[in-house]
Amino acid sequence: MFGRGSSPEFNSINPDSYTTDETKKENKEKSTDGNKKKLRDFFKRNKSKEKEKQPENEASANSDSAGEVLVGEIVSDDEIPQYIKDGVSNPQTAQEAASAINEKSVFGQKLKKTWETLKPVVASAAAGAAVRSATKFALKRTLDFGTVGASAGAGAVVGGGMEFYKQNKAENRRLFNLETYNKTLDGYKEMSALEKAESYVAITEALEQRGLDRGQHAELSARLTTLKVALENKTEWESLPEAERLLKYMKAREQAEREELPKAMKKEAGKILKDLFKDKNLNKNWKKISTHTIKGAVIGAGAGALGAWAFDHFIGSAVDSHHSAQVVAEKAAEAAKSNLAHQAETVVNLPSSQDTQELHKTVWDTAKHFLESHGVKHPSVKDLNEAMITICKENNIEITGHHPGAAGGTWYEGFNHAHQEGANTIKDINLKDGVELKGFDKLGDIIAKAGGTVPRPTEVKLSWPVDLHGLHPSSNGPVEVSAARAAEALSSQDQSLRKITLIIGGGIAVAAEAMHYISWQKKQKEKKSLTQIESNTSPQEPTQPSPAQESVPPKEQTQTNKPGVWDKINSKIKRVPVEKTLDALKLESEKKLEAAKKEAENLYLKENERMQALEKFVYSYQAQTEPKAEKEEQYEKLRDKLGKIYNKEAQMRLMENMSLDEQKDFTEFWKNFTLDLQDRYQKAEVRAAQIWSQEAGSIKENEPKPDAGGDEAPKKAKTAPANKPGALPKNNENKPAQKPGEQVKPASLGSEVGKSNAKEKADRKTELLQEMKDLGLMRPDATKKNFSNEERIALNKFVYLMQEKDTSLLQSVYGEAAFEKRKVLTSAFRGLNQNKPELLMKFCRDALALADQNKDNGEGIKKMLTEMKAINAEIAKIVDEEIKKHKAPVKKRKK
Amino acid sequence: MLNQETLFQNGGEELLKELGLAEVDPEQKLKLVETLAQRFESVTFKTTLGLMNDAQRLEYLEAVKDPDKNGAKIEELASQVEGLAEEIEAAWLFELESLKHILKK
Repeated sequence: MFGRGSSPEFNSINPDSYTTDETKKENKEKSTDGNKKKLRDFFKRNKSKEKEKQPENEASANSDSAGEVLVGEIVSDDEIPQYIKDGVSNPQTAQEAASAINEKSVFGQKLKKTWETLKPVVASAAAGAAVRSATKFALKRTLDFGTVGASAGAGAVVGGGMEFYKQNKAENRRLFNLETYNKTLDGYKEMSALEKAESYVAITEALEQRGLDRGQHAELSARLTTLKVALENKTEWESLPEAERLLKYMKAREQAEREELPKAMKKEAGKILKDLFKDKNLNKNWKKISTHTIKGAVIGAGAGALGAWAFDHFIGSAVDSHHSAQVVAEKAAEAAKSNLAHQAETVVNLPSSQDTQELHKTVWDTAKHFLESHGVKHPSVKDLNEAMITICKENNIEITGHHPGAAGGTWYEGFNHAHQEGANTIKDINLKDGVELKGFDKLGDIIAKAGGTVPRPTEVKLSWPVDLHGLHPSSNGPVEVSAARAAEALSSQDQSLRKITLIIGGGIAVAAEAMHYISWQKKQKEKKSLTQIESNTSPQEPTQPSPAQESVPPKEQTQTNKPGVWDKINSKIKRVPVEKTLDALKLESEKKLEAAKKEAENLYLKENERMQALEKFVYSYQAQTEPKAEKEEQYEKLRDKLGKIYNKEAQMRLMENMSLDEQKDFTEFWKNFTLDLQDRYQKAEVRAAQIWSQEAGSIKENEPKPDAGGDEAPKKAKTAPANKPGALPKNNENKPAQKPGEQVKPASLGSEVGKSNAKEKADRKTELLQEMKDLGLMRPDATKKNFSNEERIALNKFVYLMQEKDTSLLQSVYGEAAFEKRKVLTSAFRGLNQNKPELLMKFCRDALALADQNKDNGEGIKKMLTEMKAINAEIAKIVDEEIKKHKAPVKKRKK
Repeated sequence: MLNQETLFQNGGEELLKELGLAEVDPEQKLKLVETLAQRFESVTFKTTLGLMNDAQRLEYLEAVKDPDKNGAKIEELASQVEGLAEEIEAAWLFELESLKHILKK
């Protein structure tokens, strides 16, 4: 926006630097080195003094503060004007500059503290060439700006306010929009969330009509698209729980932005952005991109504050804060001669610039004039009273009944009404014409109610280079803006911003730093446990405080913010050892995750053993000979120990101190086997419930269906832990299928009967496995030993399906019983369709071929297929295709 | 429950409380915090992009392709955007308000 780069002409407008080129060169070299040394010595001495005064941990908090780092940059940058270098070579001035920077508010707190939060980059800022160069660049830019701003902005905001003001102009605009939005929403309480959102977009659109740049346009388009998506799914969204709704909204918004933003860019940038959004690693990279960007923003803010200070210190004090626009324009023109500014013009918003009015006769008259000038043609007495009382209160005006705020004590007609409205405290005071009255921005509601036009921020256009009429307000002629008024407006906004940013910053802004801390914390714990193990074999190394640890800030700094999340974060993040490299952290994270997984596997093995005992009990229990109570007790004991692995407690314990990415990874791992165990446990519970509630003979009626949740099981088991997948599927295989009508054999008859039954079942299963292979439902070389999880489940389903009759699959489905089991069948088909469509195709082909061979029973197949059509369109589609394929050859065969 | 002492969790708790979602179950909480974090990170990126001139934007986009390698470059470019910190703050505020209003019935 403003001139960057070297500024030879800069010195020409500064009396302090009227020197020849040669002298300048010599002085530059000498004073740069000298100044550097002076500064270093000064800060060093200062630190020593502070250390003496404060406890150790507090004293170190000041080391490498934002202010010191940035001020240090001044003396080492050749392109910074010499007079500024000389200026800050005075230790006291340097300290002032450093303090000014540290006091700058960024992300809801003082820069000093933000800088500390970003401790790792502070360390690199001192050493790292890239960050150093970034700081220099920002500094130079700001100082250039400060110089131009000094001349041009003197009338608008005094002493550095211009930079501060400029940096906040976009914020003002947004907050103004937001305020309007919130106010409007109050009037639409009956609206649904989405209707409110629609209204919000409309308001924003209206507000943005003053001129949209590409970015704003993209943002608005994205908002509109999101809204469209939201409105299309209105019923669905509104019925969702809040958390789900929020997730849906964020997803839709993100999608919309990813579509709109590239369109707003120039072709090349748009293409890169599009590709970036397609990048699979983007979600992982957001955090890194965001963190680096924020770090850069903080450095930039520091440099901005330094520029503001420099402006104030070197230039601002020389100009009066209440110069007229004419004077400002003259100063701007003077600055423009330096050719420092390259941009043609910039627009500055002055919020509530009309909140101050000069008294004209009486407060009443002034208010009336104000209302009339904002479109309220005939203000009612009630509105006027209200306006007058508001202004009186805002200005602490006490008026008596006879001389109510009138210049020269003139009576005014509305006093009686005001009095009736409760203005009893109005007392007499003599006000002179021309006195400035503030608070006219508070009359917005009255104006709005009366149908007038609510005053909006005034835009002031600064043109570069300027002529004497360079300062052009958008309306109402030239405007003189006092520094105090601008500062007041900004101050309140800064406060509200800080409050909310504190919360966001706690959770989001420094999330990456928090993760860094968590990794460090984990490593510390590991280190601790390792130290404990190794303590007998190797002597412990003396622990030295890391640079970061040294700089733990004092607990009670001169912060105006209340201690909150940021403070907690800061206090911990500062302990992150700066020397940790990312690789080391990554390795450490992998190790930690591996250890947690190992522990989870051990837990699984133990739990699996217990589960097997429970399953053995419930599936082999058929006898009524033993007292039921004893059996129940036995069952209770078995069950009592179960469930520990898939409850949240164990998982949460293992996930303690994990980063979010690690937690995600671990949760996936955990689900693989815990869900299967949970499934098995629930089935065992159902089985047990049946045992206890019914006679043995009727158990089969309500037998637990092994397909419950079975469709999902294969997916979940896909990535089962490496050293245990064998154990998991085998376990379920052993579930004996109780045959209908089968004589219930008391378990107590002895182990031989049991063994015989088991052998019989195993043989039957082997037969059925072969049948599955013949039908193409199973891979030819599958054995019980090399089953995949899904194959195991498919076999179990098949066994279950076939238990009705000792016949083939097709024979069983011809009978009515097959229809009762159609859900199981279709579930199996659905599973196959999803996971092994080729198997389903082959099955259908074989089934249809066999059906055609057995035409007497063809009706059964048709019925089954009709039912299936109704149940699963996908299967019906496949089956239809198969029917078409097979119909013709069958007919030919018949002929 | 997850370890309440962890920073991220604490920050997440604060934000969820602000949104009136403090009572969701731990698993959903994690998902929400993660998604919110990504959302605000995305807002940061897009705000920065919107404030840059064409040349800066191209450089920035090239740099963010590999943030591991180009971290310093991203920082350098971001530091040159005037008022970026304030703009990001404002964009966050705006986003937060949007989220709040979506949650209101």
